[in-house]
Order: sequence, then C-alpha cells, then structure tokens
Amino acid sequence: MNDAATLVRIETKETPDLPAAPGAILMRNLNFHYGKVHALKDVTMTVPANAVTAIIGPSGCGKSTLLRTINRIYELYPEQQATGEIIIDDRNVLDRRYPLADLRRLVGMVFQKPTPFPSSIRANVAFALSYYERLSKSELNDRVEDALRQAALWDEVKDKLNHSALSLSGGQQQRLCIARAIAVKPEILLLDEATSALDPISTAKIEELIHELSERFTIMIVTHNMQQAARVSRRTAFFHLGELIEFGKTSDIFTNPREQRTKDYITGRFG
Amino acid sequence: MPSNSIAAAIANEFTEADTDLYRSSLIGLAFLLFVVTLIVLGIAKLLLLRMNRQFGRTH
Amino acid sequence: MAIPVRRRAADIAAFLFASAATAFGLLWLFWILWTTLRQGAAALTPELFTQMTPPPGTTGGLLNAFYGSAIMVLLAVVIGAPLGVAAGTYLAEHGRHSRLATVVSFLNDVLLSAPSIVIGLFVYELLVVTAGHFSGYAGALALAMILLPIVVRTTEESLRLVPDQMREAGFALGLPRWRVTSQIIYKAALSAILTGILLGIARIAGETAPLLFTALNNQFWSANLNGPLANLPVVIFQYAMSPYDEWHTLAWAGAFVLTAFVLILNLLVRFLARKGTHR
Repeated sequence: MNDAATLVRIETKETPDLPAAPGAILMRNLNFHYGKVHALKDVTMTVPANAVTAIIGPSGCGKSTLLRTINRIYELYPEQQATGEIIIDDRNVLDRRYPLADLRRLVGMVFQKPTPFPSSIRANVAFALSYYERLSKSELNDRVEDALRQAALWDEVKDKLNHSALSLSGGQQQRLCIARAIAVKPEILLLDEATSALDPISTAKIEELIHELSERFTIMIVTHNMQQAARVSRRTAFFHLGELIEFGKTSDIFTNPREQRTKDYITGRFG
Repeated sequence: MPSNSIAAAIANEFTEADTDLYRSSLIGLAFLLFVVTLIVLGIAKLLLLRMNRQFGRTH
Repeated sequence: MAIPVRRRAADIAAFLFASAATAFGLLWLFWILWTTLRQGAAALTPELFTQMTPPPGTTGGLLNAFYGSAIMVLLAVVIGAPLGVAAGTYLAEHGRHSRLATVVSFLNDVLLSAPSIVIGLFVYELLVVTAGHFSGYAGALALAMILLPIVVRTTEESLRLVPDQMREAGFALGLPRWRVTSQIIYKAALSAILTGILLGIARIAGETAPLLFTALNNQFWSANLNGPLANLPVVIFQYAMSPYDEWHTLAWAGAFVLTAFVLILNLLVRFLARKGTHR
C-alpha cells in the first residue's frame, strides 16, 4: 500500500498527492549549505514508513548531511543552513516553530562511532526517558529492559546494568546506543554509518536488529557498503555531489538502475 | 656585583617604604613588570596567529 | 636486515641524552628534598605541627602558619574554582564562535601571565589600603586571582577533549544544552577538571609575593581572617632572612613540608589521571 505513495518522479520534482503514512518522511526541495558550499541540491523524495531505506553514494555526496537535516542536528553549527520542507506526520519539521525537543523525540539517531555516555548501562538507556517522562522507578526499569530487549542486548547485560557502559565491547556499545535511541519510542531511526566502525560479527548482529526494528520504525541507513544496503534495505537512494540521482526499490537499483551514474557507482567505476 | 630584580626589589623594600613617593615608585616598577609581560604575551599571540594562518585554521 | 651502525649509534646517543636530561631534572628535585630535610631535620618533630611560631631565640612550631595557609588556600579555591570552571565551560561549549569568547580567552591569558607580585599589589590597593589593615581575606583573594586563570585554561582544555560526537548524541536525544553539558560532558571530563584544580592548588600553596602585601604575617595564633594571618611561604621568607638559628631551622622544615606537599599533590594528580583513563 505504501508503494503507490512512494513513487517519486524525479524529473518533474512533483510530490505525490496521497498523504504519507505516519512515520513516513516527505522531503521537498531540500537544500543544504555549509557556509558557501551547496551540499544538498533541491532534494525531493519520500521515505516510506516501517521500512528500511538506504542512502548510498561516494564520499562527500551528502548522505550524512541528509540525515543530519532530518533531526536538525546541524543547528548546533551556525554556518550550516537548510531550506525546504521535511514533512513528518503532516507537519514541516524544518519550520523554526516546530519544537526541537519534539522532533528529537520523534527521530532517533545513531552515529558511526559508538558514543555511550560515561555512566552505567541502565543510566544510558534511561537518560532521555527520565527527561521526557515522569516514570516510577519500576516503570523506568521496565522501559529500560524493553529497549534493551529490542536492541538484542538484554541477555548480555541483564546482570550488569549498573556497570559502566564503557566496559562493553564496540558492538555492544553500538547496540546500547540503539537501545538508548529507541527507549523514548521514536517513529524514525537514523543510522549514520552505524556499523562502519565495527567488526563483521557485530555488524551482522546489528543488521539483523535493523531488520527486526523495521517492522516498528521508519529506518534510514547511510552506508558506503553497497552489499549492506542490498542486504538490509527495501528502498535505496543514490546520491552524487548533493543531488538525488535515483531512488527506488533496492532490487531495482542494484540489478537494473536507470541512470548511468548509478550504474557506474554500483559497478565500481567510481566511488 | 650584586643586582636586583624588580620583584625582589618590591618585596624587600615595600615594608620600608614610608613616603608616598617611595611607595608609588615601587608600584610603578610593578606596572613596568606587568607591561613587559603583556608585551611578551602579545608577541606570542601574534606569532600564534601567523602560524595558524599559515597552516590553515585549526579552530 | 641489520640496522646500519650509524643509525644505531644515533639511537643510543639520543637515548643517553634523554636519560641524562631526565636524571638532571630529577637530581634537582631530590637535592631540594634532601637539603630541606637535612637542614630542617632538627625541627621536623611533632612540635612543628602543634606549636606556634616562636619569638627569636626559642624553638617552636609552625602551626599558625599551616593553619593560615590552609584557610587561605581553601577560601581561594572556593572563590576561584567554581568561577574558573564556569568560565572554562563558557569558552569551550557556548562561546566557540563568538567574539566575546575570544576577548575572554585573551584576558584570561593576561591574568595567567601576570606576575604574582603585581596581583598582590593590586589586591593591596583594593583591600588593604581601603580597609586600613592587612587581612586573610585579601590574601585569599590574591590567591584566587592566581588560581582562576589556571582553572579556566585547564577546564577549557579538558572539555575540548571530549569528542563532539558525544555532544551530538546528547542533543540527538533531545536534551537541552545545559543538561548535555552538566550530565554528560562534565562527567566525561571530570577527572581532567579536578586535575586542573589540584595543580592550581599546588601552585598557589607556595606563592609568597602576593601574600606579602595582603595577609602579611602574624606571629601569634589567629583565626581571624580580617587581620594579618600567618602563612607558610611568608614565614619561610622572613625566618630565612633573619639572623636567628632556630628560625633558620624552622624555615628549612617549613620548606620541606611545602615541597613534600606539592610533590604529594602532583603524585595524586598522576594517580587520578591513571584511574580516569584505565577502563
């Protein structure tokens, strides 16, 4: 049912008239500037809900920038600016009036390098929870357990919830960061090269995790690993030099791309 | 030949400074010392600025 | 493949030179400790810590000096450390792109390199002349002014060491800036910030010049911060320059205690640093 709503006509830059499903992301004429550098050029696309969408492309093509626009994390840096619209649940989140706290609760982000906070495992997961919600101690513990289970980390840490988060391995730390992000029950999860710094076994575990989570969340992953994109995502967007070149079903993109540049990138002509 | 430094001179003579002029001149010496350190600091900052410009902004 | 002789010779030469330099540096430390220990041995008794500074010609202790120094250093830390941490936080977190931050940073550098005697004279004019008498408060203020820029600089450096990604992770969760700073960043930089404060204490514990014009000295026991207060560096200074042998011995003993205190503080700092990074 989502497929009809997600066909994007790139040449004419029209957006579908059908309303997006809750949790889908509609980007319209999105432009991004790092000072004078025009990093994202008029991007228009719709990311479907409850599915994994991969963003691929060579270094510097704007993939991470795209993600960082969605949760407005770029606002930390004054010389970075975005214009255009990003519509989630019928509201433009790029609008100055949209409260940042609401946005960041709606959209969770996991970064390339695992960044556990310097406290216990339990405290890490509960961090945002205790800020957003008034929960009793037992409710808090339940939510922490729930998040850790969803992140496939519970069994490994259930006996050491009060230990420092820094005592975990890299792959575990990254799963902790995922648990921390999903604890507040966002609708959207952004994974920016989340497995690039991990070993193959951890990567495989997290890919499996992403697959399970996609039933409940809208997930966007940025990856320079094309095989990963092919394994994990249902839709793939190929970016080059800030422009969205092609966007469609993953199987189509990788076996029968329409654009020449996509074909060149997939086959390794450049990258 | 025994000599003195500004700091030592001030430290040793301050308690004996009974006239206003004596006290003022000691504090004037302190001011000179301060100016010297300021000049050295300024030179150091200028050098740093020039180096940063040469090697590109570090931040 | 054998390393050619020339490179090996250069390697050994560099190693010997570095070792010699280290030994040279350590030599002075041990010589100071040994000399102060030897010269002050006669006075290094429990009485040192229980009796007051004596009149010339008799033996005594340094209790009032220890007490005065401790109180003034403590007060200086209470005044200077929170202010320094706050300013350092501003420079590292909030003011990165602002003009004000550049100015504050420069002024901090000026204060950092100001000679301590100049600071002492400044507080003299500010608090001693106006009040008409020396005071422990003035001494504490002077010490605080010396401590402040040290803490600002080390706090700023410590906070800059925390990777930006940790901040971004905090913001991505939706936490406001002050929470990210206080609940995440401070925890990550805590041991480094404490180290900075401890090193600052080690520095101000031995400052003599500023105290000469602010707290002066007091031969008797005094816990009154609003009058001249005995303190270790000035006592050492005065006793060393006096013609009395008993006073000389006391000065040496005081110097030994001061040096040992600074050494222990530095060792504590090392220990804390190891504990911080050892995970």
